[in-house]
Amino acid sequence: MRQQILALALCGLPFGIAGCDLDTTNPNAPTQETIFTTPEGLISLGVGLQARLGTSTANFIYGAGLVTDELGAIGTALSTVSDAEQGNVAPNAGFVGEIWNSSYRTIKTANDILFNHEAVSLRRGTRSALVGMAYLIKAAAIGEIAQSFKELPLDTYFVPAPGTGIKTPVFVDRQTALTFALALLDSAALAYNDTIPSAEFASLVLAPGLNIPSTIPAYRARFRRILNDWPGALAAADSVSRTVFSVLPFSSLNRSVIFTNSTGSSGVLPVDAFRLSDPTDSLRTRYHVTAATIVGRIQTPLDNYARYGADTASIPLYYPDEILLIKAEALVNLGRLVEARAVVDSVRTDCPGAGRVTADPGPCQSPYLGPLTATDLLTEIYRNRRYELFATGLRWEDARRLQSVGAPNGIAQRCWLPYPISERNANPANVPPDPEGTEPPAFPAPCP
Amino acid sequence: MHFLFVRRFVLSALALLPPLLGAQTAGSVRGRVTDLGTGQPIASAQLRVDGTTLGTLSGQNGEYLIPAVPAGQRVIVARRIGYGEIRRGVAVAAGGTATADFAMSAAAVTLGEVVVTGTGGPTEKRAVGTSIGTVDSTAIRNAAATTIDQALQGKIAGAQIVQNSGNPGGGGISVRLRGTSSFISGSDPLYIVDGVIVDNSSASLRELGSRGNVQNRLADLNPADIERIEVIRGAAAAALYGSRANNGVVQIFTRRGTVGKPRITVQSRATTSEVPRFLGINDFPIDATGLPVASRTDLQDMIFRDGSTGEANVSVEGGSEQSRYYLNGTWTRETGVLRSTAPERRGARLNLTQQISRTLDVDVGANLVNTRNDFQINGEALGVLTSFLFNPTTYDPTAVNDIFPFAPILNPNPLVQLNRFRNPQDVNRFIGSFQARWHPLERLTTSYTLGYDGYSMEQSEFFPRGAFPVGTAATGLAANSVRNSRILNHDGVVNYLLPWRDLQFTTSGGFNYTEQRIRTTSAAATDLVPVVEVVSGGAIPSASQSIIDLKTLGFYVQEAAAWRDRLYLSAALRADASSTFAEEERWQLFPKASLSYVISEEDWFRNAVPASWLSSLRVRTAIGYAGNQPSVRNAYSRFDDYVATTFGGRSGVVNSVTLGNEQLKPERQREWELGGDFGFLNDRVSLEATYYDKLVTDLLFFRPVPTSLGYSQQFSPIGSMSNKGLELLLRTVNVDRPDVRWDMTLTYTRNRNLVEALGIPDFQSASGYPNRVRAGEPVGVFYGLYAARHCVTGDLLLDSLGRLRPSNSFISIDARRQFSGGTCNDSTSKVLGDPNPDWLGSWLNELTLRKNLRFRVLLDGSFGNDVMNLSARIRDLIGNLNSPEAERELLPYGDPRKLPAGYLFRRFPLFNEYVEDGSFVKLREVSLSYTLDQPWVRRYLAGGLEVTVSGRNLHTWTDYNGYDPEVNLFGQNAERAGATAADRGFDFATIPIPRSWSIGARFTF
Repeated sequence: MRQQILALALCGLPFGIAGCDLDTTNPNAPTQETIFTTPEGLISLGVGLQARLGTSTANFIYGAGLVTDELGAIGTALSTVSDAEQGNVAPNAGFVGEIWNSSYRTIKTANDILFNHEAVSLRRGTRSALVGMAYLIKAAAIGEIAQSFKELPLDTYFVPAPGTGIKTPVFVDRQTALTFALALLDSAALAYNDTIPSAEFASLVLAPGLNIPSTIPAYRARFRRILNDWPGALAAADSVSRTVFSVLPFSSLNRSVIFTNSTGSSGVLPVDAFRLSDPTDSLRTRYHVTAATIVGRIQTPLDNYARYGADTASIPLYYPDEILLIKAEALVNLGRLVEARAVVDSVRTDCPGAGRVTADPGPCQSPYLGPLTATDLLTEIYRNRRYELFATGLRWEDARRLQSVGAPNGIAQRCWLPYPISERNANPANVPPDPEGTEPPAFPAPCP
Repeated sequence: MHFLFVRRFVLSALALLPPLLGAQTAGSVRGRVTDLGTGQPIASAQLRVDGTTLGTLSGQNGEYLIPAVPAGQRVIVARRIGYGEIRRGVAVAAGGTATADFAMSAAAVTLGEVVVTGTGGPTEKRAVGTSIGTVDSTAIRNAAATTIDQALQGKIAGAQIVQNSGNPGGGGISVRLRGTSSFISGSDPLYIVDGVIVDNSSASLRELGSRGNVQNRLADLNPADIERIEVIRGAAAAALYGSRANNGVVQIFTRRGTVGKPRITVQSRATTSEVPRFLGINDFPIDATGLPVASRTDLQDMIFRDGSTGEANVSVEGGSEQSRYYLNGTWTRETGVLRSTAPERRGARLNLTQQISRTLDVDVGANLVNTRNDFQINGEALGVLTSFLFNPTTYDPTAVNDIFPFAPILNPNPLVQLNRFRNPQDVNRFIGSFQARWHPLERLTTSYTLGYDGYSMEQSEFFPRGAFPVGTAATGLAANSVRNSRILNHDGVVNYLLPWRDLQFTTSGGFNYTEQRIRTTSAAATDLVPVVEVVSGGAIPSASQSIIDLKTLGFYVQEAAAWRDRLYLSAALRADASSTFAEEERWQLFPKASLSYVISEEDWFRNAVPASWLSSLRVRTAIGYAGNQPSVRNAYSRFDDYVATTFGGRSGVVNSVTLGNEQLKPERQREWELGGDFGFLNDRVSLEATYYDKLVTDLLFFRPVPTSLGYSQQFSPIGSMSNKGLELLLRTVNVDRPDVRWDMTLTYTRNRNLVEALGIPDFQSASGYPNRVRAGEPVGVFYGLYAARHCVTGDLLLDSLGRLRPSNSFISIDARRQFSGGTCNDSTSKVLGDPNPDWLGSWLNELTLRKNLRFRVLLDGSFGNDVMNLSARIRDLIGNLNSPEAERELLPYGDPRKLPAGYLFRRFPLFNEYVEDGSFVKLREVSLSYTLDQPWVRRYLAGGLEVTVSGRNLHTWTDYNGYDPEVNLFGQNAERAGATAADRGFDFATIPIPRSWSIGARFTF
């Protein structure tokens, strides 16, 4: 106050007070205060939240694809990308930071909604859907980080305020994180089901293609499977609608990162071994890739994307048959082999353009005729996961489960990513040591 | 609003004044200043009424007028660089005009020169505790330069003035006074023209293929208008400019009219320029597979040409004792050495001085300029020269059956780019000033300045459809960006002189208010309808807009005391507030103090030391503080912002990943300097020596924030940096006879930069390039992977084929140590070189024969600076190999010059292999002028006819292998993402600075 009086007095000295206000605001962008205190601000955050999930999911898919056998790189400009194909990942590699940073930005935006919506008056059906979506997307982003890094911080919400230092978050292990994510999914269901989503939410917030009520149990099934909670995974899988295909849409104004990364300086594309590995499953490989004669930077032959061949191609939050395969795996682990086989057959006999969902891949194969043992069924389930769930990032978790990690023969070249240098530089006290070195472990490597 | 308000204020103030005027009796003094030896008029001589702040400069004809001199016996002092001071008494009668002519003789000492920059009012140099650089119109006029800052090269000690490229229109020029003082805003000084704070940004509203390489906006000013330039280099001298003075201040004064009948001067000049050297190419008849090559093409022949420039200046000056005017019209048109580039500058200036009453006079200046520049993209990722460097010589871009073939490595086809791509920039600028000086009492002077610098800049871009094989640009691109910029400043100063016994006190106070407003709107579209070259012809549009307002308010007070013309003390305090500072840090204080002691005025000294040996001696010291505001780019860095995004056809927002800073304040510099001014041999030789020590604290840059918070960085203080150095300026009058005069000026500048401390990890300041800002090293050192050597023997560790191995050649550290014989390769990156020069020097010779023939030579050099030759590196790219060195890989086995296959490819990642010594000496300026002033000439041309032949950058002595060691990929580094003022010495597809020859004539009617 004294300073203001001083400023006013000094300002008035030469030529009155006119125009001498030094407290400008930024006219180019809304401030935090505007966003947190208005219904328009929160609704806009809801859109931004989905955009951020679009980016972080795409980053997770291409990063996980690089360290597994799914994707390779052409680009000569960025050696870190092709190094990652060989399991050589340094903490300053661009894609490491991209997965981490974009996922945490998704979480930040979800938290902006969750921590501030109560102070704003919103329609009941807008609030319930917005908050439900924020819980879901926050859980999804935590899941992406927990599938890439061994430990991660959960308590990361930080709003800058005068006089406060910058927060340095503490890390927890990924089991704790996934348990937390499951709790978030429960909150998501609770909030979303509070009332019918408003028309306002449908027209101003929700992107066409994204289905919240079916995605919540789908992620629940996915995370419970990672935590080996088989009865829970089974229950969640059974509550997912079989006829919904929930996707993140993209457009020429909002281009898919998977596509831009496939054409940009890094040129990340499918490795052709995926297409050539099983000619009998060509209907599914053709859904995902088209044959090409591209040679990658480390001489890996590469194909083009079919599924992600355009910047407007949507990214599925989950393929409907992932849920069936989780169900089948849960049934095997619960010793219910016959039921499991029936579920596997349901996946095998799905044909392109037909079935419960028409836009998903289908092998159009005959029912499973192999031995009815847990081992054989699991082999068949994982084989289906490979062809059904190409370029979803989920193969990395499967590699860890199958203990097929390490160079040169592993499905994945490494268990975890090193913590990004950007986090370590700013939060050195809390970032744990990297679980693996920069270099890939020798095959097979038990995951630390 | 503001402008109107101020005008109203000034008008109402004027309305009140008349009753006060004429209360005193005063007359005027006029006369002519000539060279004693030659009898030629001397322009730019300073004439002052002793003991007052009244004074003026002589015009081009040597004539001057000082109005409003209080009646009585007065002493007029005439001073000029290169001449000895003369004092002459005149009796001024009320309402009368006294005459005082001066014939000046040569001397090298300039202690009496009057300066105004950073001093609070006109002050003799002897009273100032810091060194102040001055350059006059002659030095600018004879430089044959396109821009003012180009003309300053080699003329100021303590300044590193680098032309960053040979792009048309004078390239872009960086001026570093006493080293790099900041990472943000280019580290260039504050420029002031006739009291107007002017914009010197280097905006390119569309990407021109690199992170710089456009003109800086000083290019809009016409060198022919310049009367005089003053340069102050650091905080000690510039503290009165407060939070904008960290990088020094350059004040430019334009010509004022002289009394008399209208004098018309016509100057014209024709210039031809060329690329000084071409790079060698791989012209080997067979390729790597041993098969004959159909043909090899040197693209340089297709992209460069001889450039030419035509320049014309017409000026008229004259006036009466009450009103004087200077009017200039200028036109310059150039065709650049790179085909398809062509800049043009057209402008007019009017300076009016009006004596309203005996105590009030008013200056009005108006400068209108149109600068047009046809650029061509060139740089790291796209460009014509870039095409030459990236593509093998087996590539011939010539059209076959009307189809221009795509390049094998980097597109577009360079001929398509030259013929079809368009990047015009068009600037319309108005710089206006209004100055009122009122001295109601003999000892009280007040002045008020209103300055306005406004311009609109339009930049367009066009790529035709099909110029690229893939990507968004393949469908064509049209773009148009428009910027409106305006700086408005108000300055008020009051000076009061108070003599008391042997002491004289000067009290000064002032205020400054500056308002900068920048508006930028851009539109672009891809997927063009063929043949349409505007945005509306594209199917996929995009647009953006930015609004920036910056306001600064400052006040200062200064007290100076002088004792018997020998001891001078002063102290001052400036308070500054800026809209960019956080509220808690709004007001910042910058103090200074200075001491100057002219020992040679003391009788004991005069008695002890003969003037024939040491004729004058002064010691001086000063300390001061100054600041540097967050730049235009960071104008709103104190705010937490949300940015717009779209998803699924809906509009939304997300947080900006740059966290706002509620404690943002300026960078702060402390500088002290210690120096001496010496005159030897009856002032025939003068030496100015200055040692300085600068420390910048609270350096602003981006501090990493834990990315798990959803942010990545915060603009905040990150460390400190020092510059320490020595400046020498030696002037000699070697010969001074009626028909021969020979003057010499030498400058020496040594600066040591050091990043003293960093609160964040080392960082790569040029994003994506091998350099570092690192505590304990000079700023911007080259840093990266290097060729491994044995730790004991120092021999290169070659592989079985004799190729270099990288420092990280063994992934396991144990294997690497074993192979290296030690731990010297543990860290795979290290400091590889330093782009900062050890020292700079220049040597100017000026010879006048008879009175008609003048000859000048300026050598300008930089020593001990390394250059990262990335142009050479890209030629080693696999599949390219277009350098003469690549021929050595193709030689038959057994040839002693044979390099193993893959040698260059293996060298490619090893940055140490591309660091070269960039030391150079340039023959910067040569000029020979002859003045025809025989009676038969004077019958038609009153002021004679001067014919000049001049050359610029005629020769470079260097060991550097690229085109030119002076250039810098990052240009002026200003206003760009991914580049900072630390990033110097990168040569990557940068157009070399042309060698040019001019012939010019100057007619005066």
